Amino acid sequence: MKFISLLLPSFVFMFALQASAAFEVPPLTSPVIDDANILRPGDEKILREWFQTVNAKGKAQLQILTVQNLGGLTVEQASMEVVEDWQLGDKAKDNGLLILVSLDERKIRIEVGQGLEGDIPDALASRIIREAMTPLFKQGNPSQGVVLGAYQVIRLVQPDFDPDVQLQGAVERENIFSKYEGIFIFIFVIFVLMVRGILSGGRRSHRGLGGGAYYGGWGSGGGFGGGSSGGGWSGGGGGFSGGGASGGW
Amino acid sequence: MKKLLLIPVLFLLTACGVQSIPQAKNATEGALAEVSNQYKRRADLIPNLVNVVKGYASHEKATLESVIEARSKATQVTVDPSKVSAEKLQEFQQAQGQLSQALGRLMMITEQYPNLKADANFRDLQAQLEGTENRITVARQRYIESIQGFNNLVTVPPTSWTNSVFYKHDKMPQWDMSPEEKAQAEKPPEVKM
Repeated sequence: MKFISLLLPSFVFMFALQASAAFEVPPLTSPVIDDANILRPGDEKILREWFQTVNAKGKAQLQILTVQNLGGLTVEQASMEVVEDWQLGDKAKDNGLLILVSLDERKIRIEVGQGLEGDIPDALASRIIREAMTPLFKQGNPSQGVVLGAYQVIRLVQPDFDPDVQLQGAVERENIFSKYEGIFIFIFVIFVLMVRGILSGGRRSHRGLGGGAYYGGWGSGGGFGGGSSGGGWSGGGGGFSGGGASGGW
Repeated sequence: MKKLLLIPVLFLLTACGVQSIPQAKNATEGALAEVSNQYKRRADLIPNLVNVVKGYASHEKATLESVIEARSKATQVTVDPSKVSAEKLQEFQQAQGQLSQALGRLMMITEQYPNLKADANFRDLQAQLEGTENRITVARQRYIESIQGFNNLVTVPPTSWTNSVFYKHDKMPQWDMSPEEKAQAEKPPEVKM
């Protein structure tokens, strides 16, 4: 009953909105577009810096979009509209990737660019959603769910990814999906993020203060991180063919 | 010699479909190749899927066999992207549609086997199958759009004039849902309590 009473207002809201507006793709301004407001400022900043770094290395153009609802589309249709509009990834490499979260429908989709389908086959994309993201969403912690999902994605496209000094112990592992290590890293990442969240919550009250200084080990992050500027983030003409996986919580 | 004289005229005609008609034709061929490619990808997944399901639900023989049979039929029907006829396209769609149906039934019975659904191998295959079905949807949609673009060029002036003078292409048959798929799309999803 509690579940239904929680859902009901969101359904009413969904239909009310559906009548007035279909799904609209927002302008691509930053690697993290949090229209549903589920990301904590600290997490959003981490994600933005991670994605800028991965992109600067030419590995992949990763993108997060959270929306309130899908305007009546399925999550697959909506995410295809978004990536066709944004054309994430390099034109030659087709290495774009979108993590789409819709709050009202409780849906998550990882849309994988053609060039990344080898690194992130559908089965792994599905596991990232099922095993990394949804448990945290179910616990009412979508912000860290997105961060952990993004972390797993990055580990697949850039195995030597070194997110931070604090994560050193975890990133030496070879295969994040092997039986116990996955759990170990999972717990470790959550722990680090929690500590981080507390730290950044105390020391930095708002997003958009510019990167660099606080996250010490990050040479390349320095130039980016402006909350509003987004550092000239735009798609590069990457192609998508519908690969990836969907899930929900 | 007359042909040489045509060359400067051709340059003047670039906006009139001399270039865009063959380009659009190539685009439809590429799009159809992608459709068949994704269907093939699905066909490649099926033997593994059937094997895993067999391990948990071996007595669902009829359903498993119908999938295997539909798969072998579907892989026999191929279309040549450069010469597509409406009949051939329909035959292709029908074969794939039957496979979709058989697969749908198979996935439905898997709901009754909790152990199977918990099997990591099965979940991976299921994710791959879902991803492939989604790719098929995307590829088909793009194929439909590319046919529409081509048909516009060969039927709407001024490019249609260029077509009737130089290329003489006919309109291409549009991809349509097979009767089974239509029935499936109109039928509300079954909810089993």
